Amino acid sequence: MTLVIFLTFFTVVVWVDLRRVLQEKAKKKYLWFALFAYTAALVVNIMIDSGMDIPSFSGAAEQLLPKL
Amino acid sequence: MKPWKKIVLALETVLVLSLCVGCWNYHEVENYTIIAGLAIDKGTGGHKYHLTFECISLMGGKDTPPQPVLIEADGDTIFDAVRGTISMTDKKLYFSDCKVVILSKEIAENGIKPLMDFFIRDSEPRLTLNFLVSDEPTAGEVFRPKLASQQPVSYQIAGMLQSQYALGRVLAIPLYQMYDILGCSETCDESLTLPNVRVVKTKGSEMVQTSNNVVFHQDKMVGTLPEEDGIYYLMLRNKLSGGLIVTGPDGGKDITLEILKSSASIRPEVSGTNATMKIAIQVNAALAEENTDSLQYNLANEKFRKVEKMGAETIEQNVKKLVADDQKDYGADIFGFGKRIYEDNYSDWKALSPRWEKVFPKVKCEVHAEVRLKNAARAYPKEGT
Amino acid sequence: MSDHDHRTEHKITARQMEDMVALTLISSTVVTGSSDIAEQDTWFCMLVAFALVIPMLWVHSQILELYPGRDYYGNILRACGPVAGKAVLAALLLYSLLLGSMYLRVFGEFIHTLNMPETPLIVILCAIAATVIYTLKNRLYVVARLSKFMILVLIFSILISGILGIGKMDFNNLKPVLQRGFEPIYRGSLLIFALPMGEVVACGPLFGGLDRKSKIFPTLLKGTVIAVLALLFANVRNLLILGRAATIFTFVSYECVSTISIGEFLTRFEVLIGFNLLLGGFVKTCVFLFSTCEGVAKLFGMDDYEPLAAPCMLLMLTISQIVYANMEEVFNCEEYLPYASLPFQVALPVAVLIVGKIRLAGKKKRRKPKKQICTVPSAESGAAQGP
Repeated sequence: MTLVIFLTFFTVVVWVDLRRVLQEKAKKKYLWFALFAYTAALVVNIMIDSGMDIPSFSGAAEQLLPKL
Repeated sequence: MKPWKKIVLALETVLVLSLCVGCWNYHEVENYTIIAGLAIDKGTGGHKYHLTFECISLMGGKDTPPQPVLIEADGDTIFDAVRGTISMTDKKLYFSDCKVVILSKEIAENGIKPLMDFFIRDSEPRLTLNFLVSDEPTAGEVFRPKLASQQPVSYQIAGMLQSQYALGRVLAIPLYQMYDILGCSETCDESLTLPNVRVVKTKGSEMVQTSNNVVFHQDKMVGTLPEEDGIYYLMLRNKLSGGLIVTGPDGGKDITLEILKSSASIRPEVSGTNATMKIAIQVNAALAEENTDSLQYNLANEKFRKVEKMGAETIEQNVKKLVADDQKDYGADIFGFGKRIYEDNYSDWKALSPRWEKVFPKVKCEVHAEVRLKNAARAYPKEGT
Repeated sequence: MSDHDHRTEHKITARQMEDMVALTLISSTVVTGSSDIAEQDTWFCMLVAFALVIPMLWVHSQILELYPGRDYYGNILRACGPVAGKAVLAALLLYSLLLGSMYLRVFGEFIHTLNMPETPLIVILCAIAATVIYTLKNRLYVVARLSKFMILVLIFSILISGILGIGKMDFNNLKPVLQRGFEPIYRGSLLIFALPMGEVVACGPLFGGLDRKSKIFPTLLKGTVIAVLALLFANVRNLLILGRAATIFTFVSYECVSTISIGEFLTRFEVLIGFNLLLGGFVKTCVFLFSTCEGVAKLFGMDDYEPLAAPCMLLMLTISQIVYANMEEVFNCEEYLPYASLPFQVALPVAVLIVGKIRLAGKKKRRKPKKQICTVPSAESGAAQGP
């Protein structure tokens, strides 16, 4: 269910945003970054919603950093 | 604006507006069972707790007031029992309007800190919930009387606790203040008191009454303060804004003073392992009733000053007696003496705190009370009339 | 979505900027409450943290004034050179992205935990994200204008909740005052400096849009003062009403205001705290997103931040779901956050300023004109030459 919600949101944002990015004069740089961001967001969210156990940043930081 | 932009905006508006009605959490009032109060007893059938919920039934017409309905369930934890009610009723329980939690004596004697966790942690019960201890054999019995006003017993009790400002007999401590006192027990060893509640049967009707303060040693019930000491207890805790002091010449009880305002300050003095509490109480009162043979007190007459002195002596004697009885019978610091030392003399408190349980029963009290009579209501007859 | 050059966009007034800075610092902390390591002395820790952040405000304003244009990230690149500058830029933009994700998660969790437990968190986050993207695509001045309105609501709700709660306040809860020793004060101050005072580093890029007539340091300072006063008031209110119970709640201000009521009719004031969090949190997310987008634009040599709003927000949304596993980690992060944040909040800006000042001084020295040696004919030689 949550994956469906995210995919709907993702599709709408990408559809609207790509049109804007393609209007830019120097669109190549924007496009590369946008595609990287979209792919990363999609992949990670699919991983989260499929139940994969992704270690949290906070958990890792708690192990590595000194405590106050 | 381009058509597709309008569509996108419309979709986004729908998304955001859908959250305003609670999204997945949207529900109609009829789909919830509203809890007015709950009672916690020792569990049956091997369970730890037996809960009795006083629910509001919204069946009936416009002119019919909501009827209280009782639901009972057992569970090993409070939440377990709460969810267990779904097997009996088709609706989930809704705690947002829950006003009181009644505990049985057995539960109170075992310690109430574990019980508080559910009510503090869950987002539905409010922090202004009041806990009481039942004087009846079980806590659930308190919900059984059919009141003449037809309102749920829990709301009646909540109303009575709110009106205590005029009677000054019991101290209602809401949940967050209970946590403040009990959570503070690691730092200042303060003990809790809670109001009690009992069912009073008169000819043809039943009522509920709250009249005493139940004493806890930290979070375990150990006894009850006498009813007449309630007003002095509230006075010491600086929570008194009304009530009556009955005093009279030579220790008699002929004159009633109505309290208009009361304030108490407690100043600790620590020397070594001993502590003395200097208590100063100031009361503004009105001469409400005089039952002596001759009506001989008026504002202009110096005997009015005598009434003030009588009132002050009555307060001093009763406050000293209250503290002494508590020290002797329970040894529970329900007045917050330890907290005063913690707040005002932190360095002394650090030395005293490991031994406070032994020090408290020996704490000396010097009480000085001052009563100022503001008026004598409508009548102040002169001497000889 | 405008087509004109972003440098000619509407300028932000000093007042709007102060409100944006204030909202960035206030938002989450006014609801979740500051660190309670020092318990009743937290108010003192706030004042100490404020005193510690003033030099950092000066550092940020100096970085902005290193070169003309008040371009924070651009100045970092010019000051540190292309390689080191990009490394610093990358660090700061990642820090903004991470902070934005952390706060987005906290805002979502607030709504999810207290009001809508059955609504999936992603729905709440998507709604906030969509609104932030749309706002930022309409340029920063929109956020600035919103801040001016939102701060009034926030301050009004903080004040009204304090005034209505006066009857429930126990002023003895402030005692004992400053008796617990140095260590709780030191730890509490450091934590409040890291969260939220030091986050003013993310406000640096905002000043590119500031009206040229307005000065930077006074604007930053005024915004921080507003934030400190609001946080102090909220913290003291929570302590006076809840006492020790203030240390156990996830969202302290919410619980504190829920105890306030006027009779039977006026109850449930905690909805004001919900407004605070959403309005303030919205501006905070916009500011962090802007900071991230500006950083990415400068890092990759892009002209404008606006097309990057959606991609960066999607990244922020994704990271917000993996930054914390549960609410316990949100509060455990207090233990390591000061050490994690200090490089970004203090070390990097100070290093950039030092390097920038040294390079600027070196450039000025090199540009100094050479002294011309003129020979003036003396009286004897002139006389000797004769007419």
